[in-house]
Amino acid sequence: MVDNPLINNIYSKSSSIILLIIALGYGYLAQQIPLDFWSEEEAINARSLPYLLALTGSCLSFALVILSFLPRRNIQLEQDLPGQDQSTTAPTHDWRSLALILGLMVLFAISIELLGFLLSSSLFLVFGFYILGSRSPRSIFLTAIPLVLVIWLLLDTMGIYLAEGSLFAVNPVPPEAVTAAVRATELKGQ
Amino acid sequence: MFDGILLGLETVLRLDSLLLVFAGCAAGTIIGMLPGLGPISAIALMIPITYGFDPANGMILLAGVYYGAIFGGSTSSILINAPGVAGTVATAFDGYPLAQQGHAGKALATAAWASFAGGTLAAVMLVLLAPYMADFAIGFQSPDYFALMLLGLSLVTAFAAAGQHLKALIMTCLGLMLSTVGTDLTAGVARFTFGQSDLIDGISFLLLAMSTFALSEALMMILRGVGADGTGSPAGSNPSANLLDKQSLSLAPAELKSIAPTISRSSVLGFFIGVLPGAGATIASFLAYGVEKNLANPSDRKKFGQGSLKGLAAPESANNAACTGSFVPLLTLGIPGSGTTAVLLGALIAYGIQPGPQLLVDEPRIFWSVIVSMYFGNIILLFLNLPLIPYIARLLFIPRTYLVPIIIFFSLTGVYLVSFNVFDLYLMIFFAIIALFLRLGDFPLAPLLLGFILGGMLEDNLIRAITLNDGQWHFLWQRGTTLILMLICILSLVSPLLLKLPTYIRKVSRLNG
Repeated sequence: MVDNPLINNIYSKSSSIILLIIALGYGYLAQQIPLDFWSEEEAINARSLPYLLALTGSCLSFALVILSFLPRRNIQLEQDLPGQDQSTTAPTHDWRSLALILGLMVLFAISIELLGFLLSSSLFLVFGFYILGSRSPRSIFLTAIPLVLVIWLLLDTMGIYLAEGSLFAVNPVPPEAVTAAVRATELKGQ
Repeated sequence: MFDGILLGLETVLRLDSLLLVFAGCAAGTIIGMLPGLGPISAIALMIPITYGFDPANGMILLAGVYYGAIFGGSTSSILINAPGVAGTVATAFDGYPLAQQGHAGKALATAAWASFAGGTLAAVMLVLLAPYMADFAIGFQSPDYFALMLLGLSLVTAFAAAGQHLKALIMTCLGLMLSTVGTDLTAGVARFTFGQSDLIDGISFLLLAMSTFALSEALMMILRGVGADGTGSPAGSNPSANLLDKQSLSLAPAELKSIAPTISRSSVLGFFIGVLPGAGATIASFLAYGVEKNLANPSDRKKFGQGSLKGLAAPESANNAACTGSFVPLLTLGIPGSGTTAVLLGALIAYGIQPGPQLLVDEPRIFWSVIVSMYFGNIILLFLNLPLIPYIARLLFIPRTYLVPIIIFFSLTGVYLVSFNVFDLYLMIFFAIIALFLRLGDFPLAPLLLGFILGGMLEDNLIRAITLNDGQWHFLWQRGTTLILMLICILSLVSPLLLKLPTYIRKVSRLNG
């Protein structure tokens, strides 16, 4: 939660509008759920609960939109509690670091099957530490690489096999094949 | 009951189980101590580790993480006035002033003894109450379950913070919507999958728990700024951990005697509040603090908020007792009363265990070993964690520039190592961004998780109830149990409005007058 009530109100307003759109969109998509001829005649089918949820969600979100746009004479702060600092100054948000970390997370997802667990994880941590302000290469590398190695060794001990990156594999296994193999094992287990 | 306790003892007294209790308590303490990371994040981060375990051992570890996280949260409340968990906010009221007065050791010892007593008393009450509750619930039918699940969801919103009832309801609804993604139970048709084969099995609860709690909390820390020193600790916070080495972590007999009645009262109160779905450790700790303040004599009352041992013992015993109490609906009815027990319920389902009243009959070893492990967990927290606190507390001063990427890394790899599917990572990032904006808008996320986990069971029982009643909805008032549960559900939904009504009438009459 943001400390500043005015900014909090802006987030609250925009979130309530987005939630209303989500609920309406969910209701629209619920209509697209394919039904057999006999399912349509039944008292309850695959669309029943989604319809109910879409209706409830839309009504509640609409109520929230109305309430968040109603003029309020006093913006209520949370009840003062002993030992709690109730700051009303505008918070400074570090959107740049957040965007960079989110980008790094996407790159990690792309690279994990391409470069393998060891390399992609080490790179993620090294760049993550750097983005958030660490500037000592010694500390960065001495934290990232041993941590990844310890986890890799632990996983290896537990019998969890992590395939090497497809870039370095002699006979690269396509990621889809790995996913299909995992799914097949799960189905067999069921 | 005695057979059950013996069965639990037989499981827990094995070396591997005891090690897991210890590991769970230690990991929970460490994670719970980090400001922002509560028991939900702690448990979500530990679940991938338990996937290869025997279900009883997995639950023992996760239960240890739960009360370890609450204990860890108290430590950061006392030492740096930064509660790691909402349930330990009240601990900071008197714990932090005590630490500032140079009594950090005494405050930590009081918290440890109060947690131990609260947890142990509640575990005894759990043993006495749980089998009877399970016996009662064994006669439940699908309409009763449907009503019970609705009640669980509505109580969570009823106990939401002031002004958050509507937001909590919307979040519950969103959680239920997310639970409908995947293959439908009745007709076997794909719903809301957008043609993605990765969504046919639905969204993994671990993915959602990890992205809405651990990952979004880490992103929130980045957004707020990790601080110039990279520690993120409150400016000028007293590094009391340095003092701890020199301080005695013990209490005088007179001090123990003075807080004993407070601990007993708060433990009983905390346990019964914990049993109520939706209430939990936060409400229990605030209520216990308020009750003890009102019961104290005028001279003692003045000390509340200034460093009173009673003011510290009350929320500490109540929050630990509430944690144990929250296991009653989880183990006996299969209904999670809070976000944390919802994650535990998800873990049980992931282990292939069907939660509910039949758990005591079908899986008595899990049922009893979790309960018995709580005694040992409390002993471990008291006698092993307390001397280790001065060392563990140093974790509070790990720069966030290092801590945050490590939390993100553990969250991402935790989910990836379960499915080995990159799509899950993209989905996780998407949910984390949504959760971040919901947090900014002050939306509570625990109801979302609760709705998501209960959604599948809710629909399953609704379909069964309607099918058994020839497509009619009269099952909602035909059975006495269903009717009572539905009435309580309606009452809990309208109670926030009813409670506001006198204030509203007063305001209107003042404006008119």
